[in-house]
Amino acid sequence: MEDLYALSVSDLNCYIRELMDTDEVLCDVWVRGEISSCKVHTSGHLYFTLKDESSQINCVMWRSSVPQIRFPLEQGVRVLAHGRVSVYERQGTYQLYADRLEPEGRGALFEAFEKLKQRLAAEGLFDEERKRPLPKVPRRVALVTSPTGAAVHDMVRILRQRHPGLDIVVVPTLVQGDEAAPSICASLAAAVQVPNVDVIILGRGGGAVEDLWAFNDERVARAIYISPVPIVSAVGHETDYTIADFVADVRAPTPTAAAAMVAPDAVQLRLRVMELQDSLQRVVTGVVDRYRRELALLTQRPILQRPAALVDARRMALQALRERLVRAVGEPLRAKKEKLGALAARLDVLSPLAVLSRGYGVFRRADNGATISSVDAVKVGESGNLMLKDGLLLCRVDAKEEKDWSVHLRS
Amino acid sequence: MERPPEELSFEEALEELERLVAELEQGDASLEASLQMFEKGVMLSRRCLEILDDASGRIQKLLQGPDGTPVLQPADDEFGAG
Repeated sequence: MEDLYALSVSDLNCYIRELMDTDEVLCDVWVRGEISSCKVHTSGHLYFTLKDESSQINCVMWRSSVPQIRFPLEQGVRVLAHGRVSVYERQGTYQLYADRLEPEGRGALFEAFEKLKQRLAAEGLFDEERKRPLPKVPRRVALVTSPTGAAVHDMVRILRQRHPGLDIVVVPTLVQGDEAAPSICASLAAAVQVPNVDVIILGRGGGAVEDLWAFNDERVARAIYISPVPIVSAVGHETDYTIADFVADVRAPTPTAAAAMVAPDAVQLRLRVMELQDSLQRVVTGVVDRYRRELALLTQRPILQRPAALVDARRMALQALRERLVRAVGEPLRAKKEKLGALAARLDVLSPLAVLSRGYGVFRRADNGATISSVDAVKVGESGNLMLKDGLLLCRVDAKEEKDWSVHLRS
Repeated sequence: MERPPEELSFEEALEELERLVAELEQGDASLEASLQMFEKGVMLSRRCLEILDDASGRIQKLLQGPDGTPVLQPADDEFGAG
């Protein structure tokens, strides 16, 4: 074998590619199969494998074609893929370059929907406990919807009727077609940035199941999931259920119903406020009455009825004390006074003045005042003072004569 | 948390009002505290009614501004007619 006849690997792969690229069947083909693995590369291109019971083929879909996929790409979903088969020369492998992907019939579409629903449910996106209650009176409502449909006008009309004080922000959004899902995601992200938006209605009017498909998009589901503001989903008619309905905090059967849910029931709320106002009045009146009764009871107590009693008792106690004091001090004083009187009387009796008044006199020596009670106490020629009741007589002894008076006294 | 009633949302004012009435109904507040609660309750209920009576809602449209940032634009005529 000559070298001359050998092809390079590149030449061979190039040759095969040219063969395939010019084949009428391979350059425009529909393939039926089941998706077995599926990955969107960071570049945006979609890589997946199609298989049936006995065979499989690698597929790639360029980024530009991906947005028109109208159903969730889940493992096991049966699809129809359109494109061309060619060689990836670097690897020497052939693959299907897909430009369209359709679910294989309604059944497959439903299956894909169910599969996505199950996966998101398992992830917790539908959990009841994370659903938030709607505000009773929102300050501002954002309507993420088409600005041209009937739905937006219906919603605005109902909201205005129910509560003219409500601020409404319409966030114009594509709700069908290839760009709907990213548009909804962008609108939701923008709506939560608007100040005072307390609730969002994500809605569109009725349409064919395919028209509502954006609301089954996983990206939309996740955008709803991460919204910090409660979202009411209102997609299509009452019988239409979308993935968005399951993730949203509240599902409304129609956009009109959503508006009615979001607008406050002013009549009901006013009634409640009035009720509370009444309770407030009644309770506080009760409290005041209770204190008033307590006060009345207190004022009826004797001590407050006759406050003088308080002073009277004290006055009486004071009086008793005073009497005791007087007694305590006065008694010994009187005794002493009486004693003094008695003493004075006795003194009176003993007083020489009394004797003098009866005509007796006291003779006392002139030199030393000593009382002369015996003739022996004085000599003739000496002098003395005779004390009478009203004065003194200056006397000199001329003579002495002794006498015994006792006989006279005895007789 | 002591914000003036006029800054409270309806929910906040209603919740506070319900709390006040419940506390008053307990009946163990002093007379002075009871009267203060009453006064506050009256202001809160006024706030609630004021929100319900408000009729100054606007309709706006959220648009992309020239620099890509969202801009609110009046849209009463576009959506509010009728």
